[in-house]
Amino acid sequence: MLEPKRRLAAIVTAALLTGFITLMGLNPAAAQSPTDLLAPEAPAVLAESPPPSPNDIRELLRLLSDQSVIDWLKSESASSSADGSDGVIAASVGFQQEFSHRVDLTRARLSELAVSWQNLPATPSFVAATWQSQMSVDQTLRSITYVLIFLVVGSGLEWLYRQYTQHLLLGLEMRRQITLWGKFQAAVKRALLIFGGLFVFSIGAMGTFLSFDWPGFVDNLVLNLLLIVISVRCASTFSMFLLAPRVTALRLVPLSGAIARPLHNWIVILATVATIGMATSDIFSHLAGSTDAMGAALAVSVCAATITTVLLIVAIWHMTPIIRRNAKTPTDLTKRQSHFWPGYLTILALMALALGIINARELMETVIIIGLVFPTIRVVNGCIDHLFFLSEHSSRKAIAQSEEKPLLAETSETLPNVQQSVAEPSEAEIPATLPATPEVESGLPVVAEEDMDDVEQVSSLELYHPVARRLARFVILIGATFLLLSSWGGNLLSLSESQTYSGRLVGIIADVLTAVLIADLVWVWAKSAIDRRLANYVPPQGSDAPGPEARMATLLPLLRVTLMVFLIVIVALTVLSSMGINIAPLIAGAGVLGIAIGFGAQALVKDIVSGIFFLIDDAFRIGEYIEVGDLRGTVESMSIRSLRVRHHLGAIHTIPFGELSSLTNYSRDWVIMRLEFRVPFDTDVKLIKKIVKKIGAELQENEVYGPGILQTLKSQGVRRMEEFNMVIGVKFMAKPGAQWLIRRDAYQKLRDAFEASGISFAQRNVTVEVVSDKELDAETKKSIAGAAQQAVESAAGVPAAAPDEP
Amino acid sequence: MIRNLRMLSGTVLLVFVTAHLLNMAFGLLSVDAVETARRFLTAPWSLLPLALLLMAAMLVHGFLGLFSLYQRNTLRMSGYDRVQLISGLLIIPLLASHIVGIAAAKNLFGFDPTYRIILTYFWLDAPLEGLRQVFVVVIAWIHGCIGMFSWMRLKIWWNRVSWFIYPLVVAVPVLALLGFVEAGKDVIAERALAITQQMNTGPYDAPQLSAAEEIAQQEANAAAAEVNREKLAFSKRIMWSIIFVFAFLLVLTLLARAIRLRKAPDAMTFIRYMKGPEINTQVGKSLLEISRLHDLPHANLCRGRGRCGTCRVRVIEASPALPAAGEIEQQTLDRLDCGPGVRLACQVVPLAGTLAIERIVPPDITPADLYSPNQSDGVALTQWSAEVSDA
Repeated sequence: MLEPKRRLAAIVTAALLTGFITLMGLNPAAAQSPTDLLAPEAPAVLAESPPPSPNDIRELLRLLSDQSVIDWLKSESASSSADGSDGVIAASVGFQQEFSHRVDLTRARLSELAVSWQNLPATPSFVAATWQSQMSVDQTLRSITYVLIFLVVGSGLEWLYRQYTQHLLLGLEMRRQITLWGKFQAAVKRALLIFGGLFVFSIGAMGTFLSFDWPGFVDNLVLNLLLIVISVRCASTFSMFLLAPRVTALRLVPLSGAIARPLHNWIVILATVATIGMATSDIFSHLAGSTDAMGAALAVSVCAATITTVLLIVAIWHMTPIIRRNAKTPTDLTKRQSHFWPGYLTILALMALALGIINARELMETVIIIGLVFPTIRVVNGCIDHLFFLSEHSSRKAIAQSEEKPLLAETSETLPNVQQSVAEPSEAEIPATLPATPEVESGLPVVAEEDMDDVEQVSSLELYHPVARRLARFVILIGATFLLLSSWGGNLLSLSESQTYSGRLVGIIADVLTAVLIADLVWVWAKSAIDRRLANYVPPQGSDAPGPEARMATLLPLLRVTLMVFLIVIVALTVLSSMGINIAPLIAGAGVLGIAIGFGAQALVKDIVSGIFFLIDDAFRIGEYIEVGDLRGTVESMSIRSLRVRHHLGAIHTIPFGELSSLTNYSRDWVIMRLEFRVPFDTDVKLIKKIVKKIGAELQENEVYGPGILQTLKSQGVRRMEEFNMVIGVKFMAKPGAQWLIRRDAYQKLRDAFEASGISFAQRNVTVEVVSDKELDAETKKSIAGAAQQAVESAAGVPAAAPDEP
Repeated sequence: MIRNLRMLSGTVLLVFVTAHLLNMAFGLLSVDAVETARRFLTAPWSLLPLALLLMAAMLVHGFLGLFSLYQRNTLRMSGYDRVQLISGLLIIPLLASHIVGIAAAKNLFGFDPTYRIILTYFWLDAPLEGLRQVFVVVIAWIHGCIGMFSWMRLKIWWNRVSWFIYPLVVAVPVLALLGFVEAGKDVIAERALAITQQMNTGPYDAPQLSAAEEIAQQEANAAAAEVNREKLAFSKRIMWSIIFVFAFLLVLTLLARAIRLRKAPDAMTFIRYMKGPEINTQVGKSLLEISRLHDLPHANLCRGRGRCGTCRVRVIEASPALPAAGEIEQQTLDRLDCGPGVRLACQVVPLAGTLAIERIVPPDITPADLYSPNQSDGVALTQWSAEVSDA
């Protein structure tokens, strides 16, 4: 057990260091696993990476001569095993190298910046002169002509495409979708159609361009100009698709028109400026090439980046008051948020700009990605809430319409004050609150779609809501992880084989994150599904027979707990195993422990397992009258281990499931009750049949128990003959539980009817034949009666008890 | 009358442009092919009757365009209308230099402007002119096509031929422009070849002239250059005067329109759309224009020219009563066999007061639905008519 512990300690130390390194954006050059990093190999690590600069060596020497560093190294090597400490040293060497390399790069960049700053006044003339030397005015004009012609070709093709698809698009846009699924389908189809047009445009423009031969610089220039147009159109189309600045009904995000319109404009402006900036930087770096001694290309790109950032900040601060004005729920939270978010985004943009200028590309991307993950999650969640809300709302409206009279569809929608963070994901996240009533800015005539199938799905929508939110969060987080990795030049799929600390660390984090997120997703889905079904379960009222849901009510909470424990265990094991801890002993240990506990608690386990199977068999439900061995009663409750049965006289029996070998259920489907009574031999059996039939009809018409009768009372004729009488049988079939009342009434009515028609019940009488002519005196009569009584009792015996009424 | 005149003159101009563009498309083969095609496609337009027809069509169409601008109640219009208006206004200033240049070449300089010369001029001597030509080709073509479409798409045969016309509409300008590029590349290559040849052979071929001859030739050259410069300046003046006259007419039209609108009463009218919002708006615009001003979808296949009748509305309540239907409106209403209380939104100008109307035709109607409303596959239409009949 000591060995794993030490390794764990070493790994944790290394992980802390590499965490820092990863943050600083340095992949340690040493590609070694901890076990490979034996001391003699450490110099080889150094040899592999580029030779250190004199500064580095000086720095290293200074560090090595530092007493505190030496002490620390010594204590480390004494306290931890050899491989661990070497790993730490190797990692720190790589880190130092990389760090100083970075510092050098930054320093060089700063000096470049200084040069181009000094030459800034001369830059425009230099650029113009270089341009002139590469391209005459005529050539420039000709390039513009070319670009124009290719754009015309592209737009001509797109127009053609539109002519053939326009009626589809119009149909999609003019029809208001009621259900969420319908909305989603419409949005996807619309996106396909719109982006198909854009694709045709790009193919037309780029295709014709590529089908001609071009001299070098014209090629670069025309390509860049075409790319500007295409990317601006892409951004604009995307924003148009999401925001639908003019038509409220098509908007996919919860924004009012007053916000969507300026937001759309800003997106287009920013996309234009950004792409033009990028293209200009590219053109000038191409133009100036290696002859650029004045840093003109650098100046141009820095200028472009600065202008874009400034515009972005302006956009943020321009949108803030608009959003605040249009948010009609001024709560404290909103106010604080509306002050917080613009500032946050401004700082983010400025940081990104600064990092971009000093050429720390990876850091810049990291800052942007991490900074935008949480706003994006909030925004997407807001959108999901909005969509779910809208579809539930409209479904409810549809129900209302179908139940009441058909209303005109264009009733003004009133949305409740759903507070949501709302913004455009890529450019300007600005929180906002949904306006209480979205303006009815377009009276799109509604072609009501009578799709009533979805009325039932209203409840299931609520079920999917949390799942959708988690799914969105999951996708965003994983996507951000991928982006982050790709910006650092890593590949998520090959990380597990990567042998650097940072690679492993990121791999571990990605593994853990994925495991936790997937478990979370499954848990939320299962929990909401189970809770939903439990919430739908209504316990049986009074004497109603419980339905099959009662069984679910017993099983589902059990299932939920089991699932939770299972998920927690699996996630914990995954986390441990991806952290490099060998979980095989854990699993084996758990197995052994499980066996031991299993033996010890065999009865308990048997109870639990057989209980589950009894429940699955649907052998009994809560509220049913059952008989187990010689115990009878109504099932009152079930625990995980035992069954609680209340006898109709009040006693409670607790029966472990394991003890149940066979079980009789008196409450299923139907019961047959047989009654019999004795009549003298001279009774008219046909008359009895008639009477029974009549009473059977009467019983069936009874309001209270009539519906419970499945087959009403009918006579079975003479069942048998006895010494002094004959036994007439009658029977009826009823629903379980109703038979007692019916039996009571049937007896009563029969008795009355018999009496009315002169049929008497047979009475046990003993005829005593006295062989004497004399009148008997009273005393003799009494003694004779006593003897007869004795004879009667001994002959009849004690009658068997009829089943009791519960 | 005005409508038909506009259509006729526009058709003549569009035929001319098409022939011209088709001619240019031969550039994809070679410059010589363009030259050969010119004899059949472009040259006939210089013949007197055709030239006169062309001139007349241009003038009539131009003035009618300005007149329709004068008649507009609002400048907020549908995308197609806006494109139509702006492109129409741009054609004259952009095209002036080309027309004047060709005319000057023929009449002042007395040489036949072959495609080789023109192409060399456009691609090498004055690339800005070439750029302008590309613009004008695109703009004129768009203008012409929109005009033709608004007219043709209401015809019963449109549904059958449209699928073949659409590709043609794109193919003609695209081929012409690609021909322009390809021929231009040929011309540029020829020029480069000529320059290199001249540089290689130039010093040896130069004829040895005496001093006097040289001076005489220089003087002659200078005189010719002077004459050319004067002629060029003259043609430039003509071009600019055309542009200025046009600009003056445009400003005049806008002023007249402003005065006309200023006179209009400044009252408000309240309009209630069934299955739509209630709006309060200024009088003086047609119902269709009001719908468009408020972003309300309203079918209008002929773009407010009173031809198609798809903008028709049922007037449910009007106080005061709407002005009686004009000739155009009545014709269309009779043709469509509309009952009383139905009016064309593009022609009705509501007075100050209140009005309740119902749009009859769904806004996503296509020309295909016009003639087969019952068996159209547009579900929207049938649903819509069901709703209307319910209401």
